[in-house]
Amino acid sequence: MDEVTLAANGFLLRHDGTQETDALRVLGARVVLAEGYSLRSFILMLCLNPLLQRLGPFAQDLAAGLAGWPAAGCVPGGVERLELSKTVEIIGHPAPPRLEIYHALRGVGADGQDIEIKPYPVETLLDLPVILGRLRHVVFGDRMDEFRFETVCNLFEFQEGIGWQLAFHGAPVECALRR
Amino acid sequence: MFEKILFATSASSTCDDAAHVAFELSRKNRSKLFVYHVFGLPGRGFSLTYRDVRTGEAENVDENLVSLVKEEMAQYYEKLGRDHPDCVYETATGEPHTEILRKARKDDASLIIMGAHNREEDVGAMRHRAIAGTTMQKVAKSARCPVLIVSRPCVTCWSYFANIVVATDFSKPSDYAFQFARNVAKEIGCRLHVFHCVDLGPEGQQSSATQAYIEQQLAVAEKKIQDKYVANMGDFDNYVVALREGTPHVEVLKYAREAKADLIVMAHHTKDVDPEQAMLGSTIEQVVLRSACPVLSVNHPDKVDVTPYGVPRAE
Repeated sequence: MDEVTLAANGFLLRHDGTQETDALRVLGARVVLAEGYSLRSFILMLCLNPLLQRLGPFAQDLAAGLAGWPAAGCVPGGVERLELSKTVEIIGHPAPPRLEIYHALRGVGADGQDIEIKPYPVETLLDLPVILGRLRHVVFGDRMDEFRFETVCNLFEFQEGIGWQLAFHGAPVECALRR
Repeated sequence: MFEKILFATSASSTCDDAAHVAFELSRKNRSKLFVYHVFGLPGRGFSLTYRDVRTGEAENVDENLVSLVKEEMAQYYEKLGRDHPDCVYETATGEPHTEILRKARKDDASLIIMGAHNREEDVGAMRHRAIAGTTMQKVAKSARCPVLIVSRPCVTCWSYFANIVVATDFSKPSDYAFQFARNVAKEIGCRLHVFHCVDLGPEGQQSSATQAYIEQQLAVAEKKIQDKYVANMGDFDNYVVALREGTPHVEVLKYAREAKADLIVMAHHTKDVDPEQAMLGSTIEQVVLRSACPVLSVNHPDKVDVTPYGVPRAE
């Protein structure tokens, strides 16, 4: 499987370290995250590759918003990092029995616990490190004994998984004033 | 404003955000609050067992179980219900949406409040599953009174709302949604945003619409808004009109975020969709899924007239 390194400055790098400017060529390549990769790097990647903005209805707004957001220090208290992980879930009830595979971006706290990040506006999460987590295998809703496996994720899954989550982050930072 | 509020709950953490709104709203408005939980699905015909919708296990229904469930509910909402002595806890067994609609009809509820989902989900899982809870969809589709869907923490109290966005497609149910939104905005003194999106189909899909066509559609929409809504504002002047073109649910969400909306009001189904077929995939489901503020579904003219701060509570 081809590999693409996502650099902290938003560049897509081939295995020889040169920049890939055509995102379509590496959409199916396995993602490796360079040191210092953060959510800001993800949005820089969208800015540099307008083609990737077309993968989600809210990606264009995210890319456009970056210029107006603080240049550094966007880390909310209590959240250590963001982790994108793949989940394979076998569901038996309610019927019909089915297998679902999806990616989800989670906030992770200091002691490893999941943190709900939906209430945080995107601009407050920008400098959190982003890492790729292990695959979670959930069998019939048993969250206590779920299995964890090493896995890989391609650029499409990476962009789509994070883009999907960020589409939920729209809460205003403060209440509006009435006239 | 609302004489009777029916809060339909799973009595679990997934309805906590909706619970806060329900208790706060009913307390402020001195409304009678029914906290209603429907559990389990009965067998076909007469049955003394119900099936737990989560585990699939069969349980016997008897008075003990019902009183146990009521007690659990009262305990769960003990903190919220402390300032709310009039709150009534009720349960039923059956199909949740049928029982909720039946209860709303029977008690002549002015508003139903619900959470969007009945179980905790990973955000990623929502792509595969029913976008919003099927009970919520069915209730929103058929209820005669407005249905408030709360899926995120609502930071602003209802009576302090500053911006209400009513999204219209000029259908009859949208007109009722507008009436309701205007009445609420007038009542609480906030700004009303009358919003319409010229539908250009899914984002990124090749559209045959030319710039001239879009501009013509926008002009038509502007005229309709003036004739249908602005002309019916009465003495209410705190409103703005906003028009966009694109994919309706995306544009509604974007506008709501720009306008710092505290509430989005929409019709569940529109003139283009047969009410019997109006289920998944409708604009409101997509808006409910991602909206940071509560979404209110209005489909009927009943209960759109909000009376000033409800009836006084009996001392």
